[in-house]
Amino acid sequence: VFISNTESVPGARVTRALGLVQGNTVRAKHVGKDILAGFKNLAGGELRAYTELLTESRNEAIGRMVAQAQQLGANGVVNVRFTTSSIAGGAAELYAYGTAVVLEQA
Amino acid sequence: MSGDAVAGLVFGLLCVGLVLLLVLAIPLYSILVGFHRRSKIKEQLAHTEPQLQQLVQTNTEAAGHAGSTALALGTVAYAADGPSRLATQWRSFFGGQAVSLTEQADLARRLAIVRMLEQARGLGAIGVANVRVETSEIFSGQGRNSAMVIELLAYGTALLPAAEPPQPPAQAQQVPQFLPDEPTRVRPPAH
Repeated sequence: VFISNTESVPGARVTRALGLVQGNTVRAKHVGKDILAGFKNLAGGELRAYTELLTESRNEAIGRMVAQAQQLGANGVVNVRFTTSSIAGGAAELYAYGTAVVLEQA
Repeated sequence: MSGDAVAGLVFGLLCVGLVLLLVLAIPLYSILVGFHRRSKIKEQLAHTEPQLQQLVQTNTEAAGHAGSTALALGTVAYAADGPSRLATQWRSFFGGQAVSLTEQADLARRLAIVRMLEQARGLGAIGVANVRVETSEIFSGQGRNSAMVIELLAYGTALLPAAEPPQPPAQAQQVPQFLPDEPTRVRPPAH
């Protein structure tokens, strides 16, 4: 499945739009990683453990969105957007959504 | 003055000194290590940003592009340092710009963009179109485990040059594997 965050795909033409598809995942903090992050939090800086966690989770959300698109018989998802938000105390939701489409070579 | 009194005085001063040192150690550590980390990020950005300037960056669509495209993502989980956050709490009494946090948000965002561009360059892209940048608070820093973490996410469409005849982005039957550092891109269909 082809993924793009643009509305149109260069070299291809959208023949059918199959509707909105979405994927999400909620991740809680890892206690072990969090203790280290707590120390780091004093001096600030990048928290690599969390960067990895977010990357993994986002890929999972993308995977779910793609699975939904495949179920609809799409071969592409266009205009993909990502959002991240803190929903409960120590949990973050990663959300990916887009429009499932059938693409044909122009 | 007897020897005992002198020993007591020295002991007392030592105790006070130790307590003072402990009280000062945490802010001092935060300020010094935080400053060091930020200057390392700045160094890294000063090194990598000029190299990535060759990539054309826009936040509009690239309808006229001849080659294929792929999604490029860059993400950074970032925590601002304690002293700056504390200073900002005071600052918010009067309003105005929080200088240190402004700088840190900018650094983290540029780092996220650099990662996106690096991923695009790894794919052999000539540019990145439709760039979107997002800031979100993922852990608020309230409550018992008060880690405050923000996320800076940059994503866009990597424009790949049309070396081979452009392939239709179709026929990917199997579910692609989303590995952490592997961008999602079209597999050319087998002939």
